Amino acid sequence: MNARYLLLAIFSLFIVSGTLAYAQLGEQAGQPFFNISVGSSSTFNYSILNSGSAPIGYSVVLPTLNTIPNNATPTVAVTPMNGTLAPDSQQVISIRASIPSSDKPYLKWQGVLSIVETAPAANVTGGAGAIIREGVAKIVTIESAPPKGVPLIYYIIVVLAIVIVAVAATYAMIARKKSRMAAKKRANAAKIKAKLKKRAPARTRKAVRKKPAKGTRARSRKKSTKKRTTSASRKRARR
Amino acid sequence: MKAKFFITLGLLLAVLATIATFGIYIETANASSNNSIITANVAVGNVIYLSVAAQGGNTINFGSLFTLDSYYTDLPVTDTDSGGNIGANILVSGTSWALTSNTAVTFSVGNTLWNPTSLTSYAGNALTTSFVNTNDIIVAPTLSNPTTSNNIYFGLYIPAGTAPGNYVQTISFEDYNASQNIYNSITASGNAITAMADVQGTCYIALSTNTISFGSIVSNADVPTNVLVTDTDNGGNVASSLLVEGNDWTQTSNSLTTFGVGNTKWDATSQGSYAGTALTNSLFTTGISIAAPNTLDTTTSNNIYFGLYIPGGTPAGTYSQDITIENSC
Repeated sequence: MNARYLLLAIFSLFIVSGTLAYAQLGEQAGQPFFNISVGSSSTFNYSILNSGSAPIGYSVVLPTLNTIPNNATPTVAVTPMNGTLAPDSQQVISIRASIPSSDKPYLKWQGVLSIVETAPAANVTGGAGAIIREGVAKIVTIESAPPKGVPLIYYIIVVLAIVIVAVAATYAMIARKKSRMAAKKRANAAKIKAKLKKRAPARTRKAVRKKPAKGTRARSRKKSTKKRTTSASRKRARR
Repeated sequence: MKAKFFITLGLLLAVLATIATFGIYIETANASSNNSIITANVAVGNVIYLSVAAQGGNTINFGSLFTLDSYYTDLPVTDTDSGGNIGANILVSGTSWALTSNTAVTFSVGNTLWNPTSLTSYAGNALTTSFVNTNDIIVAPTLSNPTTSNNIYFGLYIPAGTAPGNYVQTISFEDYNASQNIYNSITASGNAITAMADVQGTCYIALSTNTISFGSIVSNADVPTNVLVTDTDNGGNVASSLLVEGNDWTQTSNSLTTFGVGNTKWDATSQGSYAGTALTNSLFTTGISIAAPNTLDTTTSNNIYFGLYIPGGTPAGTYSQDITIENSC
């Protein structure tokens, strides 16, 4: 009799202790939203939780994103991809999304990322049965943005442009200066020439014998009977 | 001549007598004042000084926590007696945790635990709104060691349904010497610290069963969409949406024999016939939502029902399917 009660007690205890352990999968609230420049990547982290007293094995199912014609689908990588959540513990799940540089901006993709408990043992007897798995999900949204500028290259280009403009301007300035100087020189030379011309004594013109036109004969110049005066004598007369 | 002698002698004797008299008087006076030492007396009373400090000055921060989540009892606060002269026990009390954006939203003071030593688990003694003697002692300061101190460690648990947001609690300290019946008389830099915690949004999932059986069905027959699975959130604090997917039915004895996933239908309400939305092999947002639990209703749930049709010509045998139900928040 006592042995029977003891067995009953042990059996009851077994049943009770078997039902005390439980596991409950949970996740941190918040849906991942990525706004990424084409050719870039971004990361979103969140936590999955086990609030129970039994461990939870899990695996990750990557999202299947919609496709957009003439654009490559972004890639989504998740770490870790599987594991075991200890009782009363958390695990950070990291989602990294990348958009190819060939894609256009202002496009949108969506898909569901799942964290699913490892399938329970099948317990289907006779007939048709379904095994129910539980999990937690995130609706992943990815939007493409225009490519980011590469500041360093832009700065280099801008600096080069400034240098080129500065050099060209300098050359232009130098050239203009030279040409001004040349013009000035010519002007001065002309002035001096003019001055000299003014000062120089009247010279007898060199007799240039013109060739007579055809059909005409050369005529010798008649000697003038007029009295000739020199500029010096004229000057003296004026005085 | 003689008279002069005696007068002179008399005067000399008088001078000597005067000197002798004054000398004795001074001697006597000196003797009665104990050679110029004065005795002073003062009564020094018992006093306890109190100042508290934590890692963040006068704050402790439990950081980001989820519902049903806990912080080990290892966050220290130091109670210091700088300049007192008797030992004392540390007494602690606290206020309820209150949401900083709405102080009407609270959770119990007792979710904070204290312990004289650091622990590697959430354990210890629950804080109360009245001062409790921790029996953690600050030894009496002495002339050679005028500053003494001791630590108290704190941990925290976030109860089910606690609304998300930033919470604060005030933890107060007193030092008490029971034998002298003396409390700390002067607070050097305050006797209270502020505890802070940031409760994150959380949702959980617990399904009422991990298998469902549609029983025995012949080909070209169906089961009404009334096979129930209940999706429960025990202790979260935000609403979640239910998503569902499945795969093809597969004969357990021959994996090449299958029939389509879409022969299973689901619906948010129990149907009297085979009706509803066909299951697919990609997650589908059902529109079924599980309400946010709260401190008054820490468990919320909703139902999803399944039905099945066996296509004509399906070979006899046992078939099974994986159905995945997920909560998203």
